[in-house]
Amino acid sequence: MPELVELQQELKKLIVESLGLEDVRPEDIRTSDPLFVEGLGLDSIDALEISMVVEERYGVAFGEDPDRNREIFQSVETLAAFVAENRTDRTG
Amino acid sequence: MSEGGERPVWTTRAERGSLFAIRLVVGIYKIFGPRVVGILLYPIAAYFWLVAGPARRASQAYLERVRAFHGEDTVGSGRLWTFRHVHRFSEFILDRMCFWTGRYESFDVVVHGEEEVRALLAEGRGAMVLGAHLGSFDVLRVMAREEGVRVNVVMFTANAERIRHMLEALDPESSMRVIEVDPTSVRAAFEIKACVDRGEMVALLGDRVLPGGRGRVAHASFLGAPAPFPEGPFLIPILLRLPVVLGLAIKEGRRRYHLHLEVLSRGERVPPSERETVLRKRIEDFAGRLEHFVGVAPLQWFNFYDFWGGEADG
Repeated sequence: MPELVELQQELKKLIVESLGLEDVRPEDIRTSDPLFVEGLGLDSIDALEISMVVEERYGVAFGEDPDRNREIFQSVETLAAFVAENRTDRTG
Repeated sequence: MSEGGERPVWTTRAERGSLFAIRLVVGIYKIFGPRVVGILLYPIAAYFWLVAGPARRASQAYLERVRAFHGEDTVGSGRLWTFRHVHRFSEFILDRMCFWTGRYESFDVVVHGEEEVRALLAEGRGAMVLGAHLGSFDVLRVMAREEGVRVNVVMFTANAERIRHMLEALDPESSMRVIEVDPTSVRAAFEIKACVDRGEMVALLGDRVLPGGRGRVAHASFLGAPAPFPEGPFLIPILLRLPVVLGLAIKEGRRRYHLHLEVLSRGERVPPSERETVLRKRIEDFAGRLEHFVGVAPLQWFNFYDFWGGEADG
């Protein structure tokens, strides 16, 4: 599914840009790696920031369920899957 | 922190001891009431003052800075004064129990600046309340109750556990919610966001750097020297475009609290390019306000560690 791969690339770029990560290039982020703690080492505030940017860009809404959100933010893979399913920024 | 080894040991020990002391005092409080506990505070404070050498020295160093910055007549800095400082802290813990057991009528709370905050809350966007380890943070509960707003207090995990024990022991039906922050978990961020989306207030303390996270610390001048402040409490409202209200409650005499509310920002959007500058300015503003209020009530600031030197344990 090339579209999903494209979305994953886009999200990686978004993460690196919005967080201003200096030592990380988008292509360094592995799709299935954990974003937080042991993986990229991002923290709670980073998650908040990514969620705001992603909500704005793709017109998705992260709900209130913290456990669900934790799943969504597990990796670029899970995040992309969520966005692909819920995006409202384009039709079809 | 120049000597990393010393700090964790004394704080862990002191905290373990204080957990036991808290349980004991809660028990006595429930049976005999605040007056008896008030008397007990002297031996408790004396004990803590004697065993916690680093806390005593931190108090001394802090009081000297206050004197140098705000003038010699603001406060003393000898042994008597460090004891008073510690005793004052124990007195605030007692007040805290009063608030938590719903004895609001024990205190007379004078609120300054509430109109502006009320107008802000009427917009229904929620707000971030920025507090400090100055005076009593629990006085906010009084305001929240009167205004019918929910306050969610964000706490570092290690503390949250302890505080929750105490809350449960005192008031099983407490309406104040505690959000635990484990700096390595994504969970807290979304809880904060959800609270705000519901129009509730989220309270954070801006004057303590906690371990963990990825070193989000900024230095700002405080009482004449640069001190580390946590970026988190200032960054979160910027990201969420939240209004920020400074909330500090200072005690006057035995029964009266002055709750000072100041709208620090209205939640306007900050473009990413200006974020660093805005963040820095907000931390400096906060440090400036804190500096002012610390001069008003020097013995009511409770950071018993080398504040200028590094992070606290919790």
